[in-house]
Amino acid sequence: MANMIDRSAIAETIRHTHPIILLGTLYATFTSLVADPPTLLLQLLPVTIGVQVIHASTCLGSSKAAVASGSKKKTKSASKGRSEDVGANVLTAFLSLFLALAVGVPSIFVVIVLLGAPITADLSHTALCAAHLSVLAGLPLVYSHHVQGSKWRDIVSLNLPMDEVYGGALGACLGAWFGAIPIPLDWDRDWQRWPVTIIVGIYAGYAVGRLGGLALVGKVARFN
Amino acid sequence: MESIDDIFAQVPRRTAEKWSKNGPGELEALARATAAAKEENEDRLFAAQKSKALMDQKKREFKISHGLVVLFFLWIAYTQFVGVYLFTRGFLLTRTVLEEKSECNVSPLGVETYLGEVGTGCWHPKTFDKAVIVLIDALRYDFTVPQVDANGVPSKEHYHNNFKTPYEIAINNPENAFLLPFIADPPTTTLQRLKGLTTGTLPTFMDAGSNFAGTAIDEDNLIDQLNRTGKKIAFMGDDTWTALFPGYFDIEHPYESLNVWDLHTVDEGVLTHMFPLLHPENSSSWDIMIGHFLGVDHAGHLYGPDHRAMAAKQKQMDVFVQDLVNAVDDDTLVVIMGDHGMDPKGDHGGESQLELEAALWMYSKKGIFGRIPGFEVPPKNAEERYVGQIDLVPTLALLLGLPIPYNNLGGPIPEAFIGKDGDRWDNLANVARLSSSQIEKYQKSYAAARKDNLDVETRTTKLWREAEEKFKVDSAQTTQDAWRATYETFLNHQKETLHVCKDLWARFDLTSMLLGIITLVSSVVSVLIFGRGISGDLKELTGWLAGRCFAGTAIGGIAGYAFHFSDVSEQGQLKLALFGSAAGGLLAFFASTTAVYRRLQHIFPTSVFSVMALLFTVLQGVMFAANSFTIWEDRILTFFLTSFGAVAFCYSFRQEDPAMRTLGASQSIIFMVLTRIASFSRLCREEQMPYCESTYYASATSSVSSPFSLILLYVVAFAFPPIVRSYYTGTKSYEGPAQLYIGFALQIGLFFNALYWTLDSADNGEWIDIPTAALKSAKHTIAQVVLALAFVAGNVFFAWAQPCLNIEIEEGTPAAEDENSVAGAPSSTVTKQPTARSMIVLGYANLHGSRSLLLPLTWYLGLAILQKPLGGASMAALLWQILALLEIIDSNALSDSPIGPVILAMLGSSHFFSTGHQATLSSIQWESAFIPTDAIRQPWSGLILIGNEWGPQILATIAVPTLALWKQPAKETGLMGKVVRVCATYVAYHATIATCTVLWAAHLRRHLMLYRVFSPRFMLGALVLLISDVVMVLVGVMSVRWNFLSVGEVFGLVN
Repeated sequence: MANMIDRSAIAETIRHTHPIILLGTLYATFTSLVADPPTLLLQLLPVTIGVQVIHASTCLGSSKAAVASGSKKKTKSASKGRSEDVGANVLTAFLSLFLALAVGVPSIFVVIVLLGAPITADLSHTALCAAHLSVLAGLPLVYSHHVQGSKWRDIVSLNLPMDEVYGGALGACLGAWFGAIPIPLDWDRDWQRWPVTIIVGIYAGYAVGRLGGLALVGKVARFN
Repeated sequence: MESIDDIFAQVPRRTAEKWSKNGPGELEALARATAAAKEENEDRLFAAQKSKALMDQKKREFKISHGLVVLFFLWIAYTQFVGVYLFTRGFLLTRTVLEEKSECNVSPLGVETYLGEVGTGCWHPKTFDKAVIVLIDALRYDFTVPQVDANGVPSKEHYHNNFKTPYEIAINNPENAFLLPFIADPPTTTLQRLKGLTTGTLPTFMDAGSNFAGTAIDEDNLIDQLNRTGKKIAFMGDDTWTALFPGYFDIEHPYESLNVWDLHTVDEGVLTHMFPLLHPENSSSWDIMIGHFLGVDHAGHLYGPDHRAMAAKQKQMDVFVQDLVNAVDDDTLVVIMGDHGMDPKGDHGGESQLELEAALWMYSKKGIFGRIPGFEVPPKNAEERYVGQIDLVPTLALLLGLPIPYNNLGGPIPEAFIGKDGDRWDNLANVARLSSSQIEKYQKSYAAARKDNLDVETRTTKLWREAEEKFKVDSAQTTQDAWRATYETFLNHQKETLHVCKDLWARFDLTSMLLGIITLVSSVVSVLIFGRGISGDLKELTGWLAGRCFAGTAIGGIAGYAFHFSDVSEQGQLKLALFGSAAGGLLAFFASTTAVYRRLQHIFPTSVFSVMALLFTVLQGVMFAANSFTIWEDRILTFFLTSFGAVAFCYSFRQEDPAMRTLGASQSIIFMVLTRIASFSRLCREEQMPYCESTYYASATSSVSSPFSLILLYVVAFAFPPIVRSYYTGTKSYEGPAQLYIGFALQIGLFFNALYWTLDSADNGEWIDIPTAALKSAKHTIAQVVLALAFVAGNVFFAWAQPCLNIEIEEGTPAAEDENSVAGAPSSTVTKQPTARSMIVLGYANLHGSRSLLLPLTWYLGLAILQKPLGGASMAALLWQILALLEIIDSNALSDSPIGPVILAMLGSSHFFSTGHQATLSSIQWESAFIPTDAIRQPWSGLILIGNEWGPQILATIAVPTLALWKQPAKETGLMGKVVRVCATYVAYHATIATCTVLWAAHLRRHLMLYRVFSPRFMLGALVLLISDVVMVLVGVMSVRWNFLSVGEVFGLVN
């Protein structure tokens, strides 16, 4: 029993600190990000993946209460022993990572180019940007909702009741959108280099979005 | 029986034989039946008459309420026109251009003084016969004087201490040369500077009276005076000169000036052509030589001043000056000058000190230059001493023996007239008197041209009169001190006049601007309340509002006119009457809305799409405050439009019906992809360099289209009509007039369009060996045919066209009807047979939309041919995007959301850029006026120019009503109210954008980038607003009338 409390305490800590860790890493490496975006984004990717996998496998497995849709899985995982659950969770997390990258990177890449990113130059910048967004927004979603068609229809159409995971994902996307705004300004700053502002937007949006998701739990966006 | 016989007698024999077989009993029954049928027919006729009367009444009612809607939109347009007019009158600085020329034998002093002629000098004895005038673009003053820091160490900057020769000569041989800061009057763009340097007057944004289309100077100027006195001019360098002075030069070697990337072509060209002419054996071929170097300026633009390239350029110029000094003879005046400076980044255009501070160096072997006491060495900077650029004009004119150009406001530069010992104050006083007298003469003509009161003596006239009196008294004394004092009184007059003129021509009329802003802002609020803030059906309310607003406008106009007589305001009576009318109408509107306060609803967005509509509009409005956002508007619009497409794609997945879901998602993808593809077609503005590559023309330095874009036009001609058709076949609406418009007119018209531009390219590129005249008349005929087909036939036929319907009779059970068939059609038009046969009305599902879209289709055809080939393809993309938008809006049930009209308006704005336009005056495609004709014929040429410049916005405006009608149920009530709401939202978007550009232009009226960025964007915003207002009322809202009546003819009108 004590073991379980410990575990959930650890999960709680990770749940609250992982956005801070992500933002902190970004802040610490910001100068090199500005200097050479693709290299740093490539180096940063494993860190982000690591943090996200740990977060998914610990928190999303143990704090299903926040995930309104995961009731089925919750009962399933509750019935199983915790110790073997962690291993299985990590495996699921990596599977989710693979899916998120395989589907997320090409589709997000296309959307970014459609939104106006250069089509012949800076391809690695754009691809890495898409990868970061996939890992931050896509991985937890795939982990929580697997590949159920109806669920993903809801996710795409913003029809899913709000929670921390969904809020983080939407926040990351919105952050990326707003991150594009300072690029055209004629301030001649190095950080206006593609895609630095987008990356900052994604990370900041992810952190803020998770909080927003908590605040608006259960709400659904109205379109019309 | 006898009666029956009579009947027999009356019918033809064969019929009688047939009936006779049936016998008399049958015949009696037949007679009864005939009588009954007759009665029934009468009944039916009566019913039909009754329903016709009802129909007529409904039609009348509809026409009246539609007329009132038109009136209301006219009122909106009028109010916005007033707002734009009032603001413009206060904001755009104007100066009346006088066309008088100074005459050699008419001195401004009158005839009693020196009487000159061309040979000896017109108004004053001339000093030089020949001159070499060299303009080194962006030669800042600090480039020319030695720069040392506080410890005396020479500056290490790349742009300092390279260009030394002028300074050294001015120090070592002061009688041969002088060097002075040479202050430009903003805007510091080369074109405006050349005008100032040759006319001697101040630039304003728009010189009223000048030929707006051409750049040629029509004011009196030095070049014109040189020509009139028979001097031969040789020119080499920046081709702006040949645009300003076409046909003035005897020898000319112009070079393309806008290619900033090329540092050397222009400079090498000047050097190559200048030195051979300086050779003694060629000296008779020219009198005045003008050279214009661009290397320094381009190095500044490209790299900024602190770069090796700048140092290299300056050193090259230094060598050039040494060579020039060695090459000229004793009687030649040499002038080397900059037209403006550059800011720390190497750019120019604004009014910062670094941009204004150019350098002027005059040199001659004659040794006639002197110094005024206290300024023996060249000043360190302009704070010590400077001369204005306009001062060069009288100086050069008097040195070369020309009359001073009529509009000149400058005064002679003392160093050139004071003599090498610095004691010829009498000479200086005399030339200053000449300048002052000409300035005074000009001021009198200007006042007369403006119809000012000539009896009142102005302050400057008083100064001039006093100086003249002093001159007459002092000229008897002949001491140099007295002459000096006289000179100073004339100088004082010149400075004062310049000050007054600067004030007059650079003064914003803040009251007028404020009145305009108040009107525009209130108009935006009123349209927003009308379009989004009132619930329920807008149709009948619109009529009620229209009456009240018009009454308010009339009363307000009279009140404003009367207010003029109270002498409280200095504004003219036209302005007051206009403002009064706008204010009266707006007050009436707001007062009326309080009467329907029950129907008011808040206009703040509550859903994703309405938040997006507001966010896009507000972000755009705010971004015009920053010049970089304004410069990159094209990319930002692409970003917003694709974002809408992405959200619409996501939202489509909410639809339960898989068909609707697929339709919405696929159309969203088409929308996004087309937006991105269209964004590849662009013409970069100067400020976007070096991050932008123009694709609109074959190369950056030509205005010829590439063969690729011609191929694209043929692809459009073959592929586009079937694409448009596919949007009709989905609802089985490809019937009746749709076949004519799409299958015939669009197909033929687009083919002709491609053919026209092929002939045009063949003409330009001389591909085929056909006489140009034949080719020209062929392509003009084609263009005229397409324009007539689109605008005359297309519009007229639209008024008479049937709905896009067909009726099929199907044998079988009525239950098999699909959604396209009529379930309970009114008996007056469609009868259900009592048998199992049923009538299926094809195209019923999109009854209103399919017909109303015909109008944008035919306008597209006409507007597309007015664009260059790539622009024509861009217009096709626009129309396809509009179609996709219609499907997105319909499949997601968004017809009540403001997002539709906002996105439609943004589409129009976005394609403004992809059709090769920018928010700059230089990007106007003047040559498009000659597409259907080879001569200017007003008003047609003007209309064609408008169609070219704002074609995308016009097309989007015409498609607005379709947005409310697309696939709407024919019998739905309040459809007209929906149209009104959509149109009002669309107008509100453009009004918000225009008002924001107005606000920012007013707020940033002292900003560096005012002339380059904010003013042109304001003009664009205001013109787009007025054009979309007018097109909205006259084409958009009017077309709805024919649409509803035509549909009502078949299915009955529904209120």
